[in-house]
Amino acid sequence: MDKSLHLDSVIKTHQITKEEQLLNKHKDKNKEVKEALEQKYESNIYSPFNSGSYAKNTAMNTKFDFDMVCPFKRNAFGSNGTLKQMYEDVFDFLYEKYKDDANVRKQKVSIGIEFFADEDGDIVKIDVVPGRELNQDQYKDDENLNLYVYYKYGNFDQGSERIKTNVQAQIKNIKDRATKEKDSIRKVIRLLKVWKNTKYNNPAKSFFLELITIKAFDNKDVSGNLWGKLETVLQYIRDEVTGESFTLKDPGNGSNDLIDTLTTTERQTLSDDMKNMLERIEDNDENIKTYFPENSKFLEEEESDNKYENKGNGFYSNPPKNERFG
Amino acid sequence: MIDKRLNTIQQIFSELNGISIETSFSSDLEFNIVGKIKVPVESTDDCLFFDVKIYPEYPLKRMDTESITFSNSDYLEYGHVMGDGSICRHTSHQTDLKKKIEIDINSLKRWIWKYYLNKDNDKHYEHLILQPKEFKGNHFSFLFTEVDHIFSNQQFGFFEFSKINNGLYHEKVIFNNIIQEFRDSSSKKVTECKWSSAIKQLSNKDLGIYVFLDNPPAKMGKFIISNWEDLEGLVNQNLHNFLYSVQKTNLKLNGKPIPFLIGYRVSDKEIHWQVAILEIGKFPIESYKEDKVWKGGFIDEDIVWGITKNCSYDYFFGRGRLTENITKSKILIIGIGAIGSMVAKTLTRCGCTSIDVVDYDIKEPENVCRSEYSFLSGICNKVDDLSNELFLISPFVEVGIINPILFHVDSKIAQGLNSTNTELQKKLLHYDIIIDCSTDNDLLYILSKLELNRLITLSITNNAKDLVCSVEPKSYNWVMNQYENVLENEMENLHNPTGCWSPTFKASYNDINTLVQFAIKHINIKLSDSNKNLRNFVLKTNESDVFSIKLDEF
Amino acid sequence: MYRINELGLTLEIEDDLLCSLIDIGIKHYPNEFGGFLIGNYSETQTHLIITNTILPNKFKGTPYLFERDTIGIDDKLKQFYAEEPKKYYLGEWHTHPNNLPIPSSTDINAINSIANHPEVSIKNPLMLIIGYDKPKVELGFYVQFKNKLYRYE
Repeated sequence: MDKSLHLDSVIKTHQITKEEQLLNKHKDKNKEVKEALEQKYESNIYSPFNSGSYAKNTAMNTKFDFDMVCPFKRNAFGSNGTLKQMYEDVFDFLYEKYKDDANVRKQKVSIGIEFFADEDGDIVKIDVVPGRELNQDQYKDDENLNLYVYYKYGNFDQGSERIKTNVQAQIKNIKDRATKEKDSIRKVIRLLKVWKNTKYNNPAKSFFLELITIKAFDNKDVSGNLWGKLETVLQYIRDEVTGESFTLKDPGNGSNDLIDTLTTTERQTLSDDMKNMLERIEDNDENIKTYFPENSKFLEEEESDNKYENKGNGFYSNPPKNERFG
Repeated sequence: MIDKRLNTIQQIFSELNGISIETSFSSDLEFNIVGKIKVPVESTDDCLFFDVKIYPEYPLKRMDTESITFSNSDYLEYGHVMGDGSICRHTSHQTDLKKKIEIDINSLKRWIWKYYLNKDNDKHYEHLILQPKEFKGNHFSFLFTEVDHIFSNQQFGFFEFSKINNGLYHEKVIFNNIIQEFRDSSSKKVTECKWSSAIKQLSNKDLGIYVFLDNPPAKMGKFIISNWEDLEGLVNQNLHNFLYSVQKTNLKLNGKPIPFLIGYRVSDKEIHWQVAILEIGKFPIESYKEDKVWKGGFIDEDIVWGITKNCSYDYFFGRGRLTENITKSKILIIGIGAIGSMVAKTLTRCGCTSIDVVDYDIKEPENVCRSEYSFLSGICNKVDDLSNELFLISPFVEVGIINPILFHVDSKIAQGLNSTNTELQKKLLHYDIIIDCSTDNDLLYILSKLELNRLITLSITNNAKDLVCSVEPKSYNWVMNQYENVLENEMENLHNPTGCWSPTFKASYNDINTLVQFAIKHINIKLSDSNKNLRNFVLKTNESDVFSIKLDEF
Repeated sequence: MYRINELGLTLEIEDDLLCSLIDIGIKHYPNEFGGFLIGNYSETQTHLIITNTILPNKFKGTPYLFERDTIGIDDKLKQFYAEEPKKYYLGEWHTHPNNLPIPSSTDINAINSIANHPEVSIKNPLMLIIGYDKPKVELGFYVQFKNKLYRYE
């Protein structure tokens, strides 16, 4: 089998535009949540914005990453207000507002709102990430935010207030690269996300996979066909992610190291997973199908897109000179 | 020959440093060589004397005991001395007579240093030393577990036991019994042993009597008392009244043996029971008048001690079991053919206590050769037969039989009628681990769509060339891809018995179980370490050179 | 109308044309015979219509083999291309006397070689096999699609 052809089909069947209805529902709910937050916090909040993979051009249709960052003013919860107060306040507000329509729960740095399935059986999920500017009115200038860590997140301890970041810079960095190098970086990121979804409770965040892919492209000669590129990135992760000196700088804050979102054993598992995957695909091409599965929901549609095709210069040509039939 | 051996031994002993021969060696009627040696105790003026007995096997072992003994019943109070005064030692294998004698003398000196001179007491508890005796030519055993009850000193009453299989104990018949529950003297239940419900439901029950003592009925701390009179100081008159009335109300059963358990504390957490066998009508008791009051007492008679064994879970599985992450799980096995029955038996032997099984199939004689079923149970439901097999193995396993029709309704019919399996999911969430050995692709498809705690599937290709094991959620596509595209599953050479419509793969018990055990070992290692992640895997065998198994992790 | 459900592709052939192909084929009994298929594609490129045939000027036919040459067919192809709508070379047809319309390994090689021929611009060449065994005629329409041969129903 042709591994690159398969991978192309994986990407095609995972294109977010294929789930237009669900995408629109996400956009609508997103707007609704955003307006509710703005109404509630009025002048204490800057405009919430999208930071998920949809914003970064790396989304796929089996998992919509709709993350909404809510930048709060420094004194939004009083001049002595803590990040914990901010986090709890936003949670309480969202819980009260949506408890009859959704499961609202506390996650690592965000508050997840998972709306109950609608009449089409569609489920909309939005993660709200509360953040607070470092000093009053400073956000306009530096876009920096402090996040609250609700429970242990890799090496970040529960309750720590360590994560300071510039989400806008994060988005811009990935979106720029993913858009500019859409046949390489963007495809590889999407494939890694497809893989991540095959693993139960995979601790590697999408953001982590995005950054490590970019780092692989920056440090390795990633070339060849799609499989060749993906293979190089997988090898890079396998070889580097367990290294003691390996770092993954947060484009939003150079002193944040995204490798800290994984524990030592999680890093080892990630490396082992890469090793196993490369070995199994080397053993037999067919194994690529379960590491990077097509989205079967759109596979049929793909097939009904079949056409009689020509090789690019129209249909007219002569038959080959001699052919034998039996 | 004997003379030559005798001379050699005499010669060797006389040349040994640090000992001297007190009584010359001679040969007894059973061809043993006996003598007496004197061993000075280092850095003291003491000398110890030992009778030495060398059996004809020496320097080879006698069954599993030493074929040379050093004994002196004056030293009974010291550690590691047996009831006959022999020193308990374990030495290494040696076939050379001279070297073996040196080794044995050295181990004797080690004993002197450690237990005689330093009065060492090993930390771990040593059971009281007793030699089981026969009652009217038969042995008796009583098996028990820990109980959730703290017995008080002098507490007594009845206990209930179930008779299980008789057998041979060396040349004699042994009657085996399982202790079920303890009652007070008015037959009210006090507590029960922690057996599985199947054991508790055993019929063929009978009653015995017990007394609990705070301290072991021992002499010199390690030998069990041997005469009923020795018990006198440890019990009070209430027990005597009880024994008297038991015998009196059972006069009809004269001559019948009745077990008398004597319990005692061996540690903070543990009690032990010894059993003496009494005969109704001949209880070793007497009554006498003292200050115008009738009193009871024991008479001068040897105690017939039987055999007891603490079979509590931790002892029963003490020599090896799987990780608690498996043994403490509620497990469901779907499909109990060759693979499923091997998995079930392995889990049972390795300490699992909650195993449910579901299968609609009937066990036929041709299943026996490569599964865990037995021929003598004939043709019957696999689930019933397997649960019996499992009960025979473990007194702690609870086996639940799931109705295959209900299971089918919840899985396939529900899927067909309304494309959901919420009812099935709800029921399956009861289990911590579900092991699907059914090789039923339809079922795998359904199970893969559910959110389950942990689903493991096991299947093999023809001739047991490969074993495919999925452990990750939603693995239907992976399993199918292995069979359809990755592995070579040669389907032409299947076993087709005459007139059979469902051909099956070819492989022996050995072929299959080799892979099943390998797979369980791998899963056990992964699950025992929370830092490890269990991933789908395939076992591939290779017979081209020497046989080997390769584990490909995905 | 013939279709391949798996691919969602269809084709049709005019009855007159089909009858004449069968007639011409049977005339060469006991030898195999065949020719080029001409026609056009629907705008969606999911349907095609076989409208004409070009018979070879030079060929070799035996009961188990048919080999054709393209000598002298250029002009005819150009004429068809000049028509409105334009007509193209779509593939080939040949007969299987006394046999079923199942592709032989020679047939499979031929269709592969046509699909992969650098001078051929169509990706999905057709192959019609007319199997006949008096008095029965059976047709087999095939198309090469992504390195696989599919049969129309």
